[in-house]
Amino acid sequence: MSVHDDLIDEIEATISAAAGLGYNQPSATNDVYENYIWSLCVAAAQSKGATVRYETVQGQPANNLIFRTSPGAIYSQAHDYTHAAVEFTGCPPLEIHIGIRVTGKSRVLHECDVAVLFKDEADLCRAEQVHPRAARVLIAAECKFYTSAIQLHLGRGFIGLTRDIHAKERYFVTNSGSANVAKLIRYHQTEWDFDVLPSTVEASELQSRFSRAFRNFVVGHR
Amino acid sequence: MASDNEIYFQRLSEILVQGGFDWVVVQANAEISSGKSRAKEVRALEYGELIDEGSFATRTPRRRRASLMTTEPFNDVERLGILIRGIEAAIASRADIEEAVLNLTDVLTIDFAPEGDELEAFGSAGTDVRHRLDRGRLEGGKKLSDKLLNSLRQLREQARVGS
Repeated sequence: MSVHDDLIDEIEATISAAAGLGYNQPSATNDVYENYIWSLCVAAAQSKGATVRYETVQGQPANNLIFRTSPGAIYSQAHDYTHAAVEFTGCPPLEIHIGIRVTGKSRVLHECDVAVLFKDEADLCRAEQVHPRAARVLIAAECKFYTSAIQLHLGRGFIGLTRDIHAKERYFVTNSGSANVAKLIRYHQTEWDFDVLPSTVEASELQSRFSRAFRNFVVGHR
Repeated sequence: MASDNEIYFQRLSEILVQGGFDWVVVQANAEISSGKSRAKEVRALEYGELIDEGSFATRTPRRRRASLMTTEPFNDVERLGILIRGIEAAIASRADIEEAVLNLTDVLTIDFAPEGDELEAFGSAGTDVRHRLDRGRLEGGKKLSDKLLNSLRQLREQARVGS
C-alpha cells in the first residue's frame, strides 16, 4: 500500500466518524450556521448595553433553547421556540428570532433566517396569529452555509428579497463566497458578508455592523 | 490516463457519497461546472454613425478594444482543491461553529425541532431533522476536525494544491 493510500484511508475514517456525529446532514449544518449568526446578533446587542434574556413563544424564560429547523410562523406553538428579548434603556424593546416568516411590501410572505423586530409587533402577531410586517423588522439576515462557492441564483434571490422587505440593514451572510455574487450584490447596493466563520475578521466585522445598527436604533429612540 | 489528482478527486468523491456527504460533492461539482470567469480584452468590430453620401449611405466599421467576459475550465489541481475545501467546510468548520454557538449562548445544549411531524432524513438530503448541539460532544468534534485538517494538509502538499 502506498503512502497516498494510507492518507486516503485516514481521511475516509475521519469522514466516517464525522457522519457518526451527524455532520453529514446539510440541513442540520445550515441550522447551526443560522444559530451562529443569531448568536452574533445577540452578542452585538449586548455589546451596546442591552439586557438580553431568552424567552419562549409564551413570553416565559426559556430554560432550554429550542429553534426551528425550517422557517415558520412567529406565533407557532408547535414547540417552545426560543427568541432573544432585548432591552435598551429608554427604547422600545426588541426581539431577535431565527426562521420566521415576514410580510413584504407586496404582501407576500418571505423567510427571514435571522430577524430583529419590535416587541410590540411580535406581541401583536402572536396575539392575532399574523406575520410581522417587513417595515417593523430592524435587521434581517439571509444565512447560507455552503461547502463550495455560493451559486449566482442565491445572490439574485437576495436582491429580489430586499426589494420586497426593504433594503436597509438586510444582510446576505455566508461562510463561503463568490466573486460573481459579490459583484452582483455590490452593484445593487445591498449588504453582503462572505467567509463569516468563528474567529475570522469577517465575523467580527459582521458583529460590528449589527452593533452599529443597534447603536443607530438607540440614538433614534432616545 | 487519469492524473493522480483526478484519481484523488474520484476516490474522495466516492468516500463522501458513501458517508452521506454527497451534498458536498454536488456543491463542488456545481462550482466546477460553472468554471472561472475572467475578463478578456478583444478587438470588437463596431459600426459607427450612418453617413449619408447622397445616393447611398454607409456605416464606417472600426475595431475597438473591448473587455468581455469569458469562462475557463478548472484544471485537475483546482478541482481537487475545491473538493478539499468542501470537506473542510463540512467537517472542520461545522465543529468550529458548534463550539462558537455554545460559547456565545453560554448553554450546555441547544435543540433544533421541526414544526410539523418529524420526518426521517432521506439519505443526506434530509430536511427538517431533529438534532441537538451538546457541549459534551464538542471535544470529539474538535479532535476529528484537527485530524482531518492535518490529513488534508498532507494531501494538499502531495497534490500541490493551494489552500
